[in-house]
Amino acid sequence: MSAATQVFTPMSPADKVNLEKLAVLIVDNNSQSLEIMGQVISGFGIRNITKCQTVKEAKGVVSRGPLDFVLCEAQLPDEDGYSFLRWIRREAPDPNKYVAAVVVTGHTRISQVMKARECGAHFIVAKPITPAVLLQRIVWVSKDDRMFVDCESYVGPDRRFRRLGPPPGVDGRRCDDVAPDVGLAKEPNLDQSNIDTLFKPSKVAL
Amino acid sequence: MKPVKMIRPPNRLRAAMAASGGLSAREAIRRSEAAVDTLREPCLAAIDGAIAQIELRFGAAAAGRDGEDFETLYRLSTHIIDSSIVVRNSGLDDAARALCGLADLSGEMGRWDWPAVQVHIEALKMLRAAGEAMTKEQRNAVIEGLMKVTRKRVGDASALMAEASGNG
Repeated sequence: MSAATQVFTPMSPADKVNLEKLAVLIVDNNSQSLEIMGQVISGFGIRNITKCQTVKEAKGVVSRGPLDFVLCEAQLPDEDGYSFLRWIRREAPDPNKYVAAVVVTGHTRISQVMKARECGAHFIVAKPITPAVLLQRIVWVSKDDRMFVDCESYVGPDRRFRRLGPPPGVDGRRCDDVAPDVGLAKEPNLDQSNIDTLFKPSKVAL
Repeated sequence: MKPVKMIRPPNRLRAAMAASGGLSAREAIRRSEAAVDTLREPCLAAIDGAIAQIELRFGAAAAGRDGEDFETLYRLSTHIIDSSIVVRNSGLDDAARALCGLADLSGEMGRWDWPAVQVHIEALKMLRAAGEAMTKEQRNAVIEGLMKVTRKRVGDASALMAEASGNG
């Protein structure tokens, strides 16, 4: 399925999920919250879980070895979760630069709305984080075919779920952006015999 | 300006989940909820501790509350949200989120609205005591009341900004 037509398919309760081999990093400065998220994740059968209470510690983990999933609290005292995600997308080594990442937050501050939008997370999920919601998000990201955008102002999964081109009157910045106005034809129209030829069955050598 | 690059990196999460076997989604969620329930008592204690701290430092009887900072109230409110996973149908998380919004907005404006804070404290105490026994409609009515208080505060903030820019 192409990214242009990708839609979220709800998970059925009977669907099988195998998360045993995932390497997961959880970051939260509140030890109680870290413990809760750890219990949610370990309940899914995941054994390789690394917990960090500071971004400094978490950056060390990201730099050391490949991860499959990052779950990070937004409100952290030293450096917030949005900045950490931004660092991952811009400075982490491959393959962690593209790691599936979910930011969790109890509340988004007025001053951080834009930061949240631009951090490069796959999802921002409201706390309290329930097992059903987190599992849905993990499964969704595993099926996600969106491309990664790498530009000056943003690095992360494409935020456009449907590609409808740039807004009218605006030139797109991407090489595959097509203006919604088709404009006038630059060449003469095909005559009917040319069109018939296009549809005529013919033998081809394979 | 840096050109826009589009990249399709390998989906490691998909590859890690590709092995056969595993659990049904229903079973994975059941086990995860059971694992979280082992934390019920410490989570309830954390909620009660945070509400007590909020009342002690920001309640009507708190003598030095004018000297408290907005960040402390915000942080205590987020602790309630974090732990409210064990009281999912109490409305506590929504009430604490409303208090976060109020603390954040008050911080942006640089001044407290104590009656608004008090309403939130009373709502938190009521929802902790009886939220799970209330109907969804009753809980929603409480949360809607808190939202109205915050909306009024947003109105105050807009008026202040207009005044500051000379349009008030």
